[in-house]
Amino acid sequence: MRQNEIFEAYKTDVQFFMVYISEAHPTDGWVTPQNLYDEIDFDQPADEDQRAEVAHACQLGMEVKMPMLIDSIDNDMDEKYIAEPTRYYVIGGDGTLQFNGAQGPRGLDPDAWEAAIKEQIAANK
Amino acid sequence: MPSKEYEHFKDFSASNVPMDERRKIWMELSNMTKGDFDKMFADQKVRQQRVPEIGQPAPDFEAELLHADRARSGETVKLSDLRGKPVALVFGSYT
Repeated sequence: MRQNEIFEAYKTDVQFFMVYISEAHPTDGWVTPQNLYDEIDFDQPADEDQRAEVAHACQLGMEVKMPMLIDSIDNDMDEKYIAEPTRYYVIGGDGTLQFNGAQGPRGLDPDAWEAAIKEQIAANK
Repeated sequence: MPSKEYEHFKDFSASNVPMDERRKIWMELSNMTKGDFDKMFADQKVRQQRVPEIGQPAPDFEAELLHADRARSGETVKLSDLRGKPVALVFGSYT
């Protein structure tokens, strides 16, 4: 997984988080053929305990190495970052937004994310 | 464990199935109508106009940290407490 490689490469200089947000393709919503094939089968979590449970399954199933944050059930982080279904960001050490990736999954560009991370490491030294 | 029942969907994501055909399949599999999909895509398009801009203060947040060995940690992370080191975020879900 490319994200894990990037995390391992820069984790001493950067604070990484995967933010677990609402399910993009829950079984009780927009069902996709690939998830049926992969038997990834989860309803949309209805409260924060359920959300944490699916986030934990996600962490294990996707072998996420970086620390994970759970978005609140009212989707506070997703609302602020317009992140759904998936998106990369980089924030500078001064709290300024430095990189906002395109909407995933088609727009996900880990190379661009990595380049922005390297730029911020250099700027922070 | 991949499903034998849905073996025919194995390469669906990477395939070149035209969008009209994809939507037809999504509708068959989901409890959603054409109108539901049309509205969802239209809402998404409008929503993209609110993506935070580069050079602006990143929106502050406070969120619970998930520990690898248990579902809830009770410990929270606040962006404004992380000043001094860059922060890299990837948003996503399982499905």
